[in-house]
Amino acid sequence: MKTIKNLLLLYAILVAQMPVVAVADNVSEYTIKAGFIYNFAKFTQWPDKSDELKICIFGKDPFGKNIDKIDGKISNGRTIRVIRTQKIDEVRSCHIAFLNIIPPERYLFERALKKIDGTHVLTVSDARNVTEFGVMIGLSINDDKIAFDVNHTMALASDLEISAKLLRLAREVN
Amino acid sequence: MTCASKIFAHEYNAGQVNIEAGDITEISLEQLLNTEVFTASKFNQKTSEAPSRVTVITSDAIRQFGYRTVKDILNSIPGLYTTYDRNYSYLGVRGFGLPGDYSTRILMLLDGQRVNDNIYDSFGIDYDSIINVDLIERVEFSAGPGSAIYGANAVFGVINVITKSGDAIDGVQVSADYASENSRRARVSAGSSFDSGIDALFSASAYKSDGADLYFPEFDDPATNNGVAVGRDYHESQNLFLKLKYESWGFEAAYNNRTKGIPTASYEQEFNMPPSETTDTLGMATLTYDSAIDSRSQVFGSISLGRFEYIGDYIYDYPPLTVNRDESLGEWWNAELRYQSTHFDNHRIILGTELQNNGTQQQANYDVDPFASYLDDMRSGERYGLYLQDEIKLSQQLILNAGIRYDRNIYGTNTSNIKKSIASPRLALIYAMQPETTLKFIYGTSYRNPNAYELFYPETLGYLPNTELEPEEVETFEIGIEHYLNNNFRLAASFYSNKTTNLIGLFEDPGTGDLFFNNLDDVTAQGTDLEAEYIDDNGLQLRSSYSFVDTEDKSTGVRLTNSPEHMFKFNMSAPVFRQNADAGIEFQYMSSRTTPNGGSTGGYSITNLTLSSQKIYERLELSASIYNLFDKQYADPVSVEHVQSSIVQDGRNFRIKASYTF
Repeated sequence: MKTIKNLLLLYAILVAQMPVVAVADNVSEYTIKAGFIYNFAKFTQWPDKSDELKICIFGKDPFGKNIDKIDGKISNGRTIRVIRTQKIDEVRSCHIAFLNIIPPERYLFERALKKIDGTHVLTVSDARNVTEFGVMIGLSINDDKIAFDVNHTMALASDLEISAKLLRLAREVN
Repeated sequence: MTCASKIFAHEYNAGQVNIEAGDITEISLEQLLNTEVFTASKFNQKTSEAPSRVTVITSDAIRQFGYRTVKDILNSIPGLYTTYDRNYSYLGVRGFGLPGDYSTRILMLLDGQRVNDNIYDSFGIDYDSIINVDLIERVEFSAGPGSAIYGANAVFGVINVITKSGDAIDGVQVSADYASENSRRARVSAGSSFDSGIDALFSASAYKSDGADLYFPEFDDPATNNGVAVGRDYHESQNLFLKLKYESWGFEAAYNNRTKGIPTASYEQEFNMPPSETTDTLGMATLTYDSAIDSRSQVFGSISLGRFEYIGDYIYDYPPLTVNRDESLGEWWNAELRYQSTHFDNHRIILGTELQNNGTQQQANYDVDPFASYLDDMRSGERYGLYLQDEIKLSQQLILNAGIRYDRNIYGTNTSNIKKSIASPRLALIYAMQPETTLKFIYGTSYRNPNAYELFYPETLGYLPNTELEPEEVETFEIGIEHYLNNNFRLAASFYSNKTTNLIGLFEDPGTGDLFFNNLDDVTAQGTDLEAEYIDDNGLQLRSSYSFVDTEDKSTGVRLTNSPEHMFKFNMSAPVFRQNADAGIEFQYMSSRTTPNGGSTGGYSITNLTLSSQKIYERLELSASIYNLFDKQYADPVSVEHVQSSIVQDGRNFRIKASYTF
């Protein structure tokens, strides 16, 4: 028991001496990512004319309250609705789907994408190399800054019109 | 970690936009691109941040390479190898595959729940596995010491088998296969994700194999049928599985029952004499609760029940010809509570506690008729564990993962109550040199307890009791490197050195010839596992590994038995026939191994070939496999209860399989 006590003590000292950085809770990766998603809505044209613009988070929600702040906002005359779902079938009626697939394996993405095939959903994910798996927009972090890649071929195949501005600011378009 | 003020002052004027107040929609895309962010740590660890080397085998690989059992999956993982004595299959890891050891140095988990039983600390990997491979989503193997989180038996690694959800089956699926030696397996599974939010999966399967007539030169005598065991290699098993998930709640029940004929006349039995066989039954049921408390913390709780039963019928001619029955029954319940928090910035803390009550640990041995009892031993015990792990982000590039688990083990109540306490620390420093290169430095200790079999079985069977047995402890240093050459190419290497103290083994008293379990001298092992993986954009996948290990028993200075120095594994799958099918080629090489009597088995290499397709007809899946394509004859070293020092393994054999989902 003595060894444990000593180890815990050592641990306490180590933790106490670490530099503590005060960080505001809501200024995080996913606050900024929510901002990106709002902009993707702004710079994309969907074929339908409904009053609502449904943004769906599929899988475990990494945003928390960060993304609720864009719920109810107006984008191109449509009201944004944030929807969380665990069911891929529900994603079929969404305008934007953030796919949080764990583990981020290619075959799992491909399976999910197959289930929303033939719809007009702008798919977004922040897993590694997702645009190569067929996801339309992939978010990544480089030097603490967020960048995005666009798989324009997939977007066009789903009748989505992504504005030239969005394509210009993308890190990579294919 | 960058400073918070940067986000406001750096790229645009502070005060102009207030992200904290929630005006995220008023920030331009250009501004967002230039904003520095704090990366939130995710609960699901990326393997590059894990405090060990992790290998993942997915359901795709199971299909592409025609894996029949968990054993086939494990054989494709760097550093792992299996040994089969035609009764049970045993798992070896990093040079430890001591004959007579029942895979006690690896912890096996089914969806995070301990599978190792409470008599032998063992788990089945063949058709005695708790799960049918068709229901596996993926298998994760974490190499190295795992006791700092998982406690006992996570000595050289932890296997976590993650099962599919009902949604993955999405209907009613039937599957049937036919293989060499008139082996057939059938499965029916039903699964769905319902609108109510419930995800359910149920599956039942059965396997039966006649087995071949086997020739053992050691028994080549007219009195023992010229060494041919006729129809003694039969094998049959049944599996049941139920999984329910609703919001934060989960329930899972798994069952396996397996009977295997013993063709080898082990334990000095009569050769080629029915009904020499063993039957093992394992059942588990687990209720889990897993929920986020808030965006930064999560709680997990589970309650699990387990029951394991073994019956072995061994045939002796005293005379008269008598069935000697060996039995054990283990019953336990287990409760675990775990809390994860990222409440403190740069810290990801896991605090957990586990309690296991081993209500029944019963072992018996008797002659059936005329009845004579040799052993009737009833025990019970308990163990408690408390663990704490902190993953500390020292900088953007550096993570310190520090963990410790304290266990208190109590075994054998009533007459002799043995209490042992043990602490298992682990420290890992994970350094992301560049985005594509990660270095890991790991130190840890791990252990296993002497099990009920080692402690109490021997008492009345010509073995000497030894309740003084100490836990077996291992201290490991490991360095790991992972490097992504590009998006398609991954390289990984690990170099480890470990020292085992109090290794538990079977000893013979030189004076009396009595057998007893004892703590042996130290054993050291130094080795490396090298891996390369390549996935191209057209579906070609290559996975290759080389493992080297040098093991030494310090008291004798010799290499451990059944400890291969070199292993090479190669897996390739590629789309063929205009992307309508997948071809999977598997190649495995193992260098020679010593047997318990000082001899050795030759090195060998085998090649397996599988052709599978999911695209010939919608919802139909077909596969055809040839295992040991070049009909290589090779043998596995077996333990001292056999007259044979090694047992010849299967030659070229095949399997065809079809499954259809309605």
